[in-house]
Amino acid sequence: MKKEFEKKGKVTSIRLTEEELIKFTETAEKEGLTLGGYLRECARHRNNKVDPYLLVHMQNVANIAMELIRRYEPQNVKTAEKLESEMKELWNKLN
Amino acid sequence: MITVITIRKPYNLKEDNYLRNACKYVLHSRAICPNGYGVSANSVQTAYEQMFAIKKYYGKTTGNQLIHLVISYDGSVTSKEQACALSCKLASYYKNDYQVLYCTHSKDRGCSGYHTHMIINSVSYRDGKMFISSIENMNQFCEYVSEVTGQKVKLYFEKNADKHTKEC
Repeated sequence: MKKEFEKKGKVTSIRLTEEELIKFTETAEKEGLTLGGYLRECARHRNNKVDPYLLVHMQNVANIAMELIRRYEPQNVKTAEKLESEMKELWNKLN
Repeated sequence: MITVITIRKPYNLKEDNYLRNACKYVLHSRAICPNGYGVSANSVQTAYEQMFAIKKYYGKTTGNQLIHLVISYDGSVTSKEQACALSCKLASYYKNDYQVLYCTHSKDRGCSGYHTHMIINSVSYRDGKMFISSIENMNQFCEYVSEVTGQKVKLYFEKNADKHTKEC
C-alpha cells in the first residue's frame, strides 16, 4: 500500500502557449506518460547528470566486465573493486 | 515440466526489510552464479541501494517493493552450467524495463532440482511504472519460459488471496 507522503493529492494549474501544450502532450504520449507525469519528471530531475536508463545500462556493462575479471583474471580483484566503486559513485548522483 | 511460482511478501515483514532480505537471499553463499541486470550482484547493500535509488527517483519508495519468481527445472536440467545459462536467459525477459537480481540454487532443502530465484524491482527504470503481475503478464512470461526451455510450464500464482495454477 502506497504511504500518505507519496500520494499525489495536490492539484495546480500552469500557463502554457498553445504550441507548448501540443508539444508537451505529444512528448508525454510518446513516453507513455500523462501530461502531469511528464512535467513532474522534467521538474524533479532537471539538474540530474545521469538518468536511470543510462545507469542501468552502464551497470550491465560493468557486470559483464566484472564477470570476465572473475573468470579469466581472478588475481585482478582490485580492478573489479575499482569498477564497482566507480559505478557506486555514479549511482549516488541519481536523485 | 517446469514450474513458475510467484512468492508473496510475508505479512509480518516491513516493506523496507523485504527488499533487503530478498537481495540477501539471492546473494547468499549457497547461490550459484548470482547475477543481475541493471543491478550489481556483488554485495547485498549495493544491490539494495541501486534498486531503492530507482524507486526514489520516481517517488515510489512505498507499496509493493518487488516481485519474487521461482522457476523450478525438471530432471532434464542436470548441471549447474545448464541451470545458470537458463537463469541468465530467463531473467533477461525483464531486463529492458526492470532491474533483475537472480541466482540459481541446487537440489536441496526438499526441492526436486535446480531452481532459479528472480527478484524484480517493482518500479521500472525506464518510466517509473509499477510492475503489473496480472495473470496475462505472468502467462506471457511462462510462454517465454516454455519457448526457451522447450518444455511445458505450470504457473502458480496468488490473486486476491486465492491460489491459482495455470499451464502454458
